[in-house]
Amino acid sequence: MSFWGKVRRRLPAVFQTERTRELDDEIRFDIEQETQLRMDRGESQESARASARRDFGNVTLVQEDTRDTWGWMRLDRGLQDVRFALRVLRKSPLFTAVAISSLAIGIGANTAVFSLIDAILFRAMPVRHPEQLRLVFWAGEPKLSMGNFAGYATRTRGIEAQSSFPFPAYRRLADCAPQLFALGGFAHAQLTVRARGESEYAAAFFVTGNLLQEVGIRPTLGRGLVPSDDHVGAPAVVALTYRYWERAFDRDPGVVGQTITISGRPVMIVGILPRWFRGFEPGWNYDLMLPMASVASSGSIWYSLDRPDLWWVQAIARLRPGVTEEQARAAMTKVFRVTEANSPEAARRSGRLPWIPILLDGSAGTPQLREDAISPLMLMQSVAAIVLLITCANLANLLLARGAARSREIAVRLAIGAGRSRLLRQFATESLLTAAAGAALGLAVAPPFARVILRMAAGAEPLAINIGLDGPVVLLTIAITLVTSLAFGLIPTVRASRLELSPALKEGSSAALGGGLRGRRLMIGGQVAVSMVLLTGAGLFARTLVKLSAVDPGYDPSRILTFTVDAASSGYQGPAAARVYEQIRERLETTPTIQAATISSIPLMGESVGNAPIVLADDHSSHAGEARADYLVVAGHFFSTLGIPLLFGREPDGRDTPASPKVAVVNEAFVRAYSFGRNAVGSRFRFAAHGAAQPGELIEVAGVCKDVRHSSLRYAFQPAIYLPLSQNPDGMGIATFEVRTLPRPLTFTSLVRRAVADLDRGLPIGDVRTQEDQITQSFALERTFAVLTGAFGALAAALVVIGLYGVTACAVARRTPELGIRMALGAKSREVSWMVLRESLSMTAMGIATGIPAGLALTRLVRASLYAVAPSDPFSFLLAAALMLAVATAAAWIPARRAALTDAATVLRSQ
Amino acid sequence: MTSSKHDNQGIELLQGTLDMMILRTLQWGPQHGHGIGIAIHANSHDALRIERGSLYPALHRLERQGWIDSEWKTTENKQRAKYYRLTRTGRKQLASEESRWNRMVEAIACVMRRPREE
Repeated sequence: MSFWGKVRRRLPAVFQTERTRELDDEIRFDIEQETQLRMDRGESQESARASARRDFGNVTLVQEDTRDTWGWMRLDRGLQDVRFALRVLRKSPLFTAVAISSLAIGIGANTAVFSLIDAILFRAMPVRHPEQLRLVFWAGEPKLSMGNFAGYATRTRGIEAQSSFPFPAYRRLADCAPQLFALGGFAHAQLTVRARGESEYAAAFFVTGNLLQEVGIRPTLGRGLVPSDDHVGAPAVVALTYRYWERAFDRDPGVVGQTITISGRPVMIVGILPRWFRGFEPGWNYDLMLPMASVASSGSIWYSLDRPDLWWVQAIARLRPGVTEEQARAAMTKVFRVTEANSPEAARRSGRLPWIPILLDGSAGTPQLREDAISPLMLMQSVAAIVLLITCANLANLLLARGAARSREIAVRLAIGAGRSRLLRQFATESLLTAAAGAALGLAVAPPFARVILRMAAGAEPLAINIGLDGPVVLLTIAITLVTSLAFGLIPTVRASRLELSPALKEGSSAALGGGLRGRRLMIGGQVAVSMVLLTGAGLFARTLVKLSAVDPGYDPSRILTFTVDAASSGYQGPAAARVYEQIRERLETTPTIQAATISSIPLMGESVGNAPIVLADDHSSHAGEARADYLVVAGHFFSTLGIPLLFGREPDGRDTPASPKVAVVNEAFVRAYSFGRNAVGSRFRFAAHGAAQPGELIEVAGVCKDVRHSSLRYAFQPAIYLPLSQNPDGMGIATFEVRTLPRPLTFTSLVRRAVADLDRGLPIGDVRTQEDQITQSFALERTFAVLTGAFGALAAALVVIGLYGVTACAVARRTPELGIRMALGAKSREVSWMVLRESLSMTAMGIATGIPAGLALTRLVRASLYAVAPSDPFSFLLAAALMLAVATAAAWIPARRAALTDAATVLRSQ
Repeated sequence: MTSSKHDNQGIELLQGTLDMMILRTLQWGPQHGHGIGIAIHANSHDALRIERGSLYPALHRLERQGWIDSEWKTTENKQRAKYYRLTRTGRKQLASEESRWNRMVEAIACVMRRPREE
């Protein structure tokens, strides 16, 4: 036999068509031979043929048994099972469609949320030994003065740890124990980039020259930044992130070596960073990577390589192999002490936590996003898990119904000799196949679904994370699929194989129709309970949304276009920046269709607002030392433009110059908190000394305005101070312009862009949006919860309808003889349909009765995400219960009608 | 509902003896499946009838084990038939099975012939 012949003979029978045909020939020859033998003995041809066949036995069985010896029995039968299962599934397309699509939704939702969880909470950077990476934080009382802090705090083991260091302190940490760890530093800033003739803002991060190499980030193209780039006076170079390369240069490999203008200076592109790398701060997108030494070019007055009082460098360490976190920490602690000794300046407070280094896991970058996202993600995962629970219950229900409907088929197959184990396998194959199809579909819809959730939940800024189906996500999906298919495939299968043959074979017998109605009712009750929980949650979030939308922000957000300008990153420093902002504002106000324009140092309803201690000049009460207020720098007719009513006094205007006495507007909350009463106008305060900031000049209250929401609709009003730009030229970092336009503010974007460009072509505008969007985006997360729970609640209710209809219809079919007798004995059709309805309603009531306490227990967990709605809000619970009852009635209505139309005579005759 | 595949009208075959008898039958030359069945039937003086449900799986198994191999040939009646033939290893296998069989028959015979002790 040839080699290929041998190979072919080793293949499973389905592939061995030739061999199978040979076997057929062999058997045919045997029977012909036997026939001939019998004819030779004198039998007639027909009888010889018939007896030869009879004596041969079951041809198919002989064929199967013989093929089994070919050694591929299992796979062969498996494939046969699959083919049969496919045929069965194709024969009932509605069942298959409902089963697969509901499973796909359940699995898709879980996979989507889990891929978010994996991307945000678990996944380490794809670098060598990510477990050696540590973020370096500090806690306690720094003995260095703090002029400005650019960073964030995170709580770890009850200690508040701060993220950033002054550059000199970072240097000392980096040099203290190179044998134990390598330390890299990074910081981020907004820069103005001019490439291919267009100016725009770019998110940049500055890194020390050793960072890429130590962390292990290899560029996709060209080279990364190296230590020799990181010197003052070295040639100016930049590496682009993959995203920016894609966005600005269409992935043109020719850009490496070209020069672009960054903040007015020519800089050469040396390389492209890998696609997965989005910086060390998950959630943020970066465009450019520059050497730390070029930080002066950012125009930021808060970043300096020399000043010990500006805190802005974040540090990431790679521990050398075999070095423990404790050893590294001990070495760093010594440096902290030295630093402390070197700065006698601010050792005023004692008895506080000493300044200590804190090392946190750095394998996945900084923890802010993880901290923010963990509870929303857990909530979404719970919702997704509930959805999967419902789809499983629904499928079990469908399969039980089908198992019952197919009991005659099963009985026939058992009767003609199919093995029970074979049947079990057949059914298991069917459910496994359904589950696999559902999982495949679920996997396919998961990534887009995850992106939709992300876009919905993130609000204004798209969250920059890499969502993908990688190892753990796919494994989880497979695990879910297996568990699901076992869960819903086993019960009907076992039940089917236990079937008693003879009653099942009798057509119309109730055993054949009945199969497990009690189990199915329980399942429906459970589904109702779980749907109740989801719908209640949807109700709570919807009401939260309504309440939030109804919150008065304190100003009129309609027809307001907002955008930002960052003069510092385009080369304007100090007073020059204030001047250019003022020029832009005036230019806008003289544009015909624009009614008014104003500027604020933070976007209203943006992320955060500055807050500082103040001293009340004329106050003799107990507030001294603990009075604080939010503060904003504003320009133009801020209050009248935004429609914020002034209660007393006046708005700052042209009279208030750097030379004249300092003035400010305060809000009602300020007046209330510091008991100014009606005499607020004319009273005075100053900013207290904190950190390196000297006590400010005395500021006189010129006016009192109504309270305005600055950062969140949820918070109570805080005391706030509005300072005029004219007297605080350094106070406006990135300026947010608020422009009152005609309706549809976004159509004014190009007008505004042109007005700014006319003034300086190198001055781009950023973050263009309407003020109304800015407000709605501030409760994006709540809206996401409402949409998710609402959509899944609706889905759950739809599945309940399917299940309830199925069970009720089945029960009616089973009870037809009984109903016939009842009607023959005089029952009215209305009574009969009520009887059917009542049963369905009692199932629903049981589910609701279980769902309410479950809901009460679970909604308490989302209290933090609700606004002005109690977790036990009776309205939401009642609404959910009413909805479930309505749905149940609708589902049972058709079978109930059918029951009522039972014709007694027909039924009794057919029995 | 299913019937045993090894249900013989005559004597129940001992486990493994079918393979041996097939090998033995093929010692006289190549033969097709039907012929092997006839031969065993005839040589057992009509005592053994080999079920096709046992014969064909056994033939294919023996072929897979390499003790026999097969070839399609044309019979005297110009029909195509699959002829099985003993291989070299099959011959060795037959010898060892035969001697094992003989030892067993003797041993059983000894037990059965032993006079009853009163």
